[in-house]
Amino acid sequence: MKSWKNAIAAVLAVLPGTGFAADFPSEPVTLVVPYPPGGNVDSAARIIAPKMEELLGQPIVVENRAGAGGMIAAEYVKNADADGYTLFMAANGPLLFAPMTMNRPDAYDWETDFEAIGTVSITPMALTVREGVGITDIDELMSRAGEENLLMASPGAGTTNHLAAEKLKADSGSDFRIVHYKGNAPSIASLVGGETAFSFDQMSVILPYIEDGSVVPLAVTSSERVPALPDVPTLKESGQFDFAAVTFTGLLAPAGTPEEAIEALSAALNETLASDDIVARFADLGSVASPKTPAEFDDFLTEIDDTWRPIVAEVNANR
Amino acid sequence: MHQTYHRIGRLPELIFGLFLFGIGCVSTIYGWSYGLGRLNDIGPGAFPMGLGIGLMILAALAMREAGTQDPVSRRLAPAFFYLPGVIIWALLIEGAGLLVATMALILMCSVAEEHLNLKRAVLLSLILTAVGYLVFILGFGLTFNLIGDWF
Amino acid sequence: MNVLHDLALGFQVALTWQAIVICLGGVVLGTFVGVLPGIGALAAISLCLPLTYYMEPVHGLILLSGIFYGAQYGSSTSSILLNIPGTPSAAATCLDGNPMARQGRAGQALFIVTLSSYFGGMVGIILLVAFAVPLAKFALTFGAPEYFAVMLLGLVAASTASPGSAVKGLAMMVLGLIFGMVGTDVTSGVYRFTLGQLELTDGINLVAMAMGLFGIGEVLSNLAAPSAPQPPSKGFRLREMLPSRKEARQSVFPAIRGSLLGSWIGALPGTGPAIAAFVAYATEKRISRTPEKFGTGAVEGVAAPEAANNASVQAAFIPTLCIGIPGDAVMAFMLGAMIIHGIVPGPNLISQQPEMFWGLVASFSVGNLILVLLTLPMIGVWVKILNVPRQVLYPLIIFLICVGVYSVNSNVFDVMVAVAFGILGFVMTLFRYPVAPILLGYILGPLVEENFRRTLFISNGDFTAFLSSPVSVICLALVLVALLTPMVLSFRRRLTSSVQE
Repeated sequence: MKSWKNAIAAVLAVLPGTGFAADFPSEPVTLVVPYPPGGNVDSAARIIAPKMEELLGQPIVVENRAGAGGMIAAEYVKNADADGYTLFMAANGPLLFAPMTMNRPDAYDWETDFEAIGTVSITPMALTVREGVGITDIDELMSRAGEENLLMASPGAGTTNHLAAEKLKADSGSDFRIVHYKGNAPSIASLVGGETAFSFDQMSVILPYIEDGSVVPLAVTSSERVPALPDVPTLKESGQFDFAAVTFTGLLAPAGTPEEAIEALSAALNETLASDDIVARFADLGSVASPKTPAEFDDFLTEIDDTWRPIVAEVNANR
Repeated sequence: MHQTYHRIGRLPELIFGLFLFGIGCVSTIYGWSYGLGRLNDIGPGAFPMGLGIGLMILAALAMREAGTQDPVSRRLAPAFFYLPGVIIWALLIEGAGLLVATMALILMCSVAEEHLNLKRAVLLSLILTAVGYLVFILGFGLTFNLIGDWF
Repeated sequence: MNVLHDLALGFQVALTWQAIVICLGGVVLGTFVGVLPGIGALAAISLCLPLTYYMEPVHGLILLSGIFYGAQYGSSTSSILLNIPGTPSAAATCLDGNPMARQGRAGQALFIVTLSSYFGGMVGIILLVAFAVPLAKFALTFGAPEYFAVMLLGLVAASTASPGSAVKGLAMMVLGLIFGMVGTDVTSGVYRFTLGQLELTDGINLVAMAMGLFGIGEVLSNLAAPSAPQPPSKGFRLREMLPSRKEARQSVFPAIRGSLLGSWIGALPGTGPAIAAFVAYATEKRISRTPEKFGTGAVEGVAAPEAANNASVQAAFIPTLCIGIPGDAVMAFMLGAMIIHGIVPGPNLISQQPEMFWGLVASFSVGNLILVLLTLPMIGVWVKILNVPRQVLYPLIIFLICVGVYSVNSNVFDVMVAVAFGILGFVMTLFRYPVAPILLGYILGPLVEENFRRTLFISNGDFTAFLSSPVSVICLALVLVALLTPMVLSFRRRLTSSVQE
């Protein structure tokens, strides 16, 4: 049934005077989330959905297609009709690195198989040390971590957190060991409970523990300081490191989606992200609502890809 | 024809034991290939390998028990209709939609009965589709179509 | 007295008519999805999330948690009547619940299950009220060696839980452990046994596996059997379904033990109701004077696991609400739901949001009461399921399994996995291999492996790390006892018999 409608829409689109944009969207739009319900990416999708629904005048359906580091969702969207009704709620791993880490480099390429719409949110990470360890700055951490065999927690091999940890290790020359857990929750539990000493965690999940004093923040991984922690320097400010590591969420459509649809979605997304309510929602999560034009999103993706691809390749080769 | 009962004797049980032994073997070999690691950094292969060896031993012990209990008689025909029915449902659900997939499934299940009752099968599949549509698509908002994109 | 004050605050929230209606809606929906094989709490919760946008945050959470614990009540119904657990956590209830139903005691089984579920739920809630914060702190002190010891104990204790041949039971547990290894290794990122299938890199889907083994396998076995199990077809009055005085007495202590075990296991992050139920079942069988009755319709084997899984779902809120660390996928989703409502879970939640915390906890007790009042009169209706002709019932079950398994990830591959496990489950029952140990091995295996390897990684290969805390020492000692007792017993038996000769 949908294909009939598409056919009619295609015919209408080439007729003079009847633009595609005029009636986009005319049916529900699906945001495909590459993770199960409850995580960072899923929450971001569900935060923007009601407002976008209002602006677009069509229901927004959040659909979780978890699996294979996000490849299942990515391939699903890549193969969906390029009509703007099936969108990919992407994040670092699923969009940029999964084909490499899953050893299926030809599965898809974010540059050629997807059309950028815009960033949704950007979440910096914080480097924190358990309160009892008694370390207050990053140089001290790097020198003591190697000597005292302090352990760093990671929420899983190949996560952004793990990659940043490997880069921290490589750039500082400090010889600490990284312990992997299955997800953020057990990783933070190990940090707060005392099994590990320090870790990189998304602001969204670590902020409450910083506030109650169980962990001490040493640095944030974004390029600028984070409003929630104005006194905590960035990694770059420390002088020892020259990288930023953030997790982003963003919307993409399959390649070949009509420009009118991309524009309509981009406009709705950016208006959503500009509303105070949504900004506050993301701030509560320790994230930043980040409106970007499709072109800006493209540049942003290129930058992340260039920084991290070599590290992903190295970690991948070592396992 | 579906009334045929098969006596399940010792031989099939031995074959199943061998199948388990084979899985143990595969697990051991793959475990070896995944790397056993060192004592302070145990590799991903150590557990599969240990478990594989354990399964081989247990499968061998279990095969000694084969045929010690009274053989049973079972109808195998239903399995040959129900299982393909589920597979067909799975292949049809995304493209053809809930209605066609469910009709195919219920028809397959009905063929497994001793007396095929076509009217009841069609009726049941229509009711299930209707209930499924109301409960799962309208009620729960599950994302599959009543009528798929193929039509 | 502070607790009383807090509780009063909570009931002020939970006893408003909106809260009661929402709670009722949640537990009814939960019972419903619990009864249906395949569709579980997680699916219903994620589908109801958009509804909660338009509610007060605390009402939203009352709804979502009502679905979660309501599903535990419902899932045992299909375990008992159909030998198919409504959700994997009720798999242990099949072992004795279904034999009871086959003896025409379905009503009694459902009655006992409902009351022990209520009891377990209330114990979990009381612990949540009284000891939430200290319990959460205690759970935090659990490191890799403690987890390893506890999980190993669970595995060893439960290895003898299923009836029939011990060797076959152990073989199936090891097979389950191997199935648990499928997917991406957490420690190294290596893919194990994925057979080149992308879908398998996250491991075998639990729902697909459980519904294949228990659901499809059971339907096929029933169809294959010469005559369908005779359903008790006469009408039922409530009085005829009341458990006898003896049955009631027999289920009291198992329910108490099950509740305590379940609460404890539920409070540990990373566990879940399925583990709690199996461990409680195994414990009862271990300490029973008549272990041979287990698997043939022992009321203890129904009361204990049901008390345990209901206690564990209530206790699972302890780490989630008190330290912001979810124990399983459903709890992770509850956290997500809070976040969407702008509530950031974490160590400060109780002090910052007392109305929400205590209101939610108070609503649990309301919800459990509603569930009992709702479930008891329904028993007569459920039992009539047994009268549905099998030409209708089995296609219906298979249809529900298809929809349920597919809906988890909207992935056809999962349905195929269910078919594969359906074949395995069918063949296994033909040769009298028990099915439950596979599920147990699958759930516990990754936890045992991960924590064993992590312990040695952290201690740099020093095995004494396993004995570094009282908890792990006690658990490992119990493991030894559990392993040695049967050996000693059989040795003594051999000794006495040889003396007699």
